[in-house]
Amino acid sequence: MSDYFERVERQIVHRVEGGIPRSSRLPSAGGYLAVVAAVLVVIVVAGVILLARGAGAGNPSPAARPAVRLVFTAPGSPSPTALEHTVQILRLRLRSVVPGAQVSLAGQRILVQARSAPPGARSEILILAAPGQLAFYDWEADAIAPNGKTVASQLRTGAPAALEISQGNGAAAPGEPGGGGMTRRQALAVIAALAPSGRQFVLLQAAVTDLRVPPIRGAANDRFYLLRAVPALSGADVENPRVSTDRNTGSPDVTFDFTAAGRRAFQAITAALARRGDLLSRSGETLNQHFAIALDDKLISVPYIDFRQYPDGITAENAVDIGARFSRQSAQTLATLLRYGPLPLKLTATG
Amino acid sequence: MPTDAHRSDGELLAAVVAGDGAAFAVFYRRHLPVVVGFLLRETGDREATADLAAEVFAAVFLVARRFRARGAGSARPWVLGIARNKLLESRRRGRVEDRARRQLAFEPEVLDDDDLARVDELAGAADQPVLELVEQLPGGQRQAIRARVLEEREYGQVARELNCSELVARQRVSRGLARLRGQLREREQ
Repeated sequence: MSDYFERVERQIVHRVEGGIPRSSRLPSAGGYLAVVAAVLVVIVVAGVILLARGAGAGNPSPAARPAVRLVFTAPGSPSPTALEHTVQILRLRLRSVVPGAQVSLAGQRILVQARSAPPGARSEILILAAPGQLAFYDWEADAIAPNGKTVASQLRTGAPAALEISQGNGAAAPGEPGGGGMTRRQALAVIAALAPSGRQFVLLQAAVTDLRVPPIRGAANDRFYLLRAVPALSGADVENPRVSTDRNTGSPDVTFDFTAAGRRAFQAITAALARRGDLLSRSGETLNQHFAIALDDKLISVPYIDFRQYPDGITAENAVDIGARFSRQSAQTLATLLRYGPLPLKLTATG
Repeated sequence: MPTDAHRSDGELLAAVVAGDGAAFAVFYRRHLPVVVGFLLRETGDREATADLAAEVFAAVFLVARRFRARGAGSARPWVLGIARNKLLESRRRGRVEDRARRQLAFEPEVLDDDDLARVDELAGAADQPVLELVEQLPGGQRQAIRARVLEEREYGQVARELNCSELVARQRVSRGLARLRGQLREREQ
């Protein structure tokens, strides 16, 4: 039996023998009255305290918060330098989100501990331990349609599946779950037919609004896009990422600047997109082309380049918005992940 | 008294309620492959399958006292019922349900590549009866199911190999799958 299923078995056996933790036990039917009474008392007491201390008294005191401890490992035998570098980046990422979190090395393992963690700290730590690799793709040139051909190669002939991936449909914009994505199984079958090693491709989850939600079959987010693994820009081309607010929608967003090399690469890709959009649109139909922004294995957004407004591409002298449909917390998380660069090691939480 | 491995599901769950961890381990190992096989067929996702399987067995412990044994009957339909509910709830919420594990104050478990391979192994062990049932299908249906479902060939190719029209190939696959579904339902009940 594998380690994962053994660990699950051990955890449940431990609870069978030791009983359900008192703090998380649901009350029995007979205990509900007592619980209701207790809740009323707590509400009254909390109200008194809030009145006495003002609105800022809503957060539990650090002493009342639970402790969090996570252990991470990296595959193989990573070098001490890579481990130390990973610890440093993880410390920086966690500093503002989980104040007081201690990140330390214990041999080949990385320990993250917080004596008094705010609610949700554990999941936040797990997300901030993600690799954090940002990548920009030429959406139409790199996206693969279910027939195994690139989308761009089929736009001139108007292939329906390629058109849907490129332009979306009435219900979903390009890159969104309903915009022509495939199930994971379909995408893997396409990879298997094209290149059994799969190394030339990346499988990206359709554009997400919450970085915490994993894809589940049958759920709205259960759609993937297959792209050639040839990003035009990476996180190294980006600097000063920060949370912002979309001027048009008022939604939380992430804004960043490009490095000098990033600006050149961005102008080159957006100019290429504008030329292709112009070329394909000459039949009277407007087919603006897009670039895709991905973080690790998730699509973040797929903005288009208006070839009439930017026939020579975008110079990106000013800050650029990612243009995602984010929650405020996900925008904060993404900005934090980008701010300190990707982790040198891919971490797995093992305890 | 029978050894743990020979105890009925009802006896094991009664022992679990009384705090017998070893009984839970026997129950877990007995039903894990079927649960993993079911979840993998439904989700097509190994990570979600492993995650949901943990949730299902955490729930099994929490509701073990509600199991009503009928003689030495299997608890498989009952466990699969829990799995189905967890799956539906997960789909409804758009994320893997974790209420039972939160109630048990589970530490998070993260999967590595070996664990994902193990999901396939467990599901494969659960699918073994399906392969046996395929072998019992009438000749034409068996060949069509093998070619189309197990080897994933195009219908046109299947038709050429079976020397029949594409329509007939589709009918044989459809009827073979319907027969398999019926037999699996009978087994699960």
